Amino acid sequence: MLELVSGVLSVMGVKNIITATDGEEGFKKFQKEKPDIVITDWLMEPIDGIEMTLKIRRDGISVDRLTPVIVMTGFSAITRVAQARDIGATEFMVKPFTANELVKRIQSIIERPRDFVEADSFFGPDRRRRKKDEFKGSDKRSRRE
Amino acid sequence: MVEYKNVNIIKASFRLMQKVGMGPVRPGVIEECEKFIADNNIDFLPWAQSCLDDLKTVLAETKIDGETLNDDVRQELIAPIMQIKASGAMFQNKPLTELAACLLHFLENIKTLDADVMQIIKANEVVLTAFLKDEEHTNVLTPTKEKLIIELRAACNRYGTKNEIGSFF
Repeated sequence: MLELVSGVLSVMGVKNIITATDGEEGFKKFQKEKPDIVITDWLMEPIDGIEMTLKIRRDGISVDRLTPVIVMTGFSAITRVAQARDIGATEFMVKPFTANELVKRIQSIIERPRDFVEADSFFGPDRRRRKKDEFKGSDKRSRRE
Repeated sequence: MVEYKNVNIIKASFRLMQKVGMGPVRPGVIEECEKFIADNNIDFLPWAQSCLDDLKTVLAETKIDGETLNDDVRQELIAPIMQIKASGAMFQNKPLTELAACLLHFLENIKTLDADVMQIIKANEVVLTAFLKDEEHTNVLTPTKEKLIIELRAACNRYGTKNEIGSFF
């Protein structure tokens, strides 16, 4: 899967792809290379992608706690999505995935970056979607009696 | 509603947009990526077989007590199935993904580990093994495979109804 995702990113035009086979090696490389985006699998040993994301977000030595993290996994239950969100993942991607889904998530990270929330029990991207102001039509609902 | 104290908002950074620009991706790039995925010749079967072997080991070592399924056992059962579900379709084996997705959903929602559950898991494992061995139609959902998936889903649903969990599918 690592080979496949790296290959897709390469075809997409991503120039510098750094790979690791588990969360421990991943965090070391994150610290050294300071990547623009992290894409991680959920299940890895000895340190999984969830723990690595937690380290990126909350460890005092993390070189950039605001780095966008995409968590990829075969899990799709809503509880898993919530778990990934609660540890500060930026995007959640269910495998098997299509290239289009990966491109969309990377585009979203680049073009619609989120604020970060720092609280006692949470550090991660703001879970609330930003209010859209583009709508210019008449406001029919507020005129209802 | 949970009330958080000491909340600090860090404004979004547009650093990446400044670095790579914005707008649609180059025409054709998504098709090229899809082709890369479709044409990959990574041999997925030995790895999938090792996942099924892991599942067999867990099944052999798991004690059926009819008690609440604890998270560690659930996780051990789920891990190999999730890996097969995640990878099958990406390595030209959609039927494996489809069947593993059913079993994953079942395992994530059951409450206890009893003899019926074990039978359902074992039946799924046998069919997954058969799908894996069908090297002639790896990526084809043949009528036989489709029928087997329907039957296994029905078994999950019967279990759900019997145990007042409700239908799974």
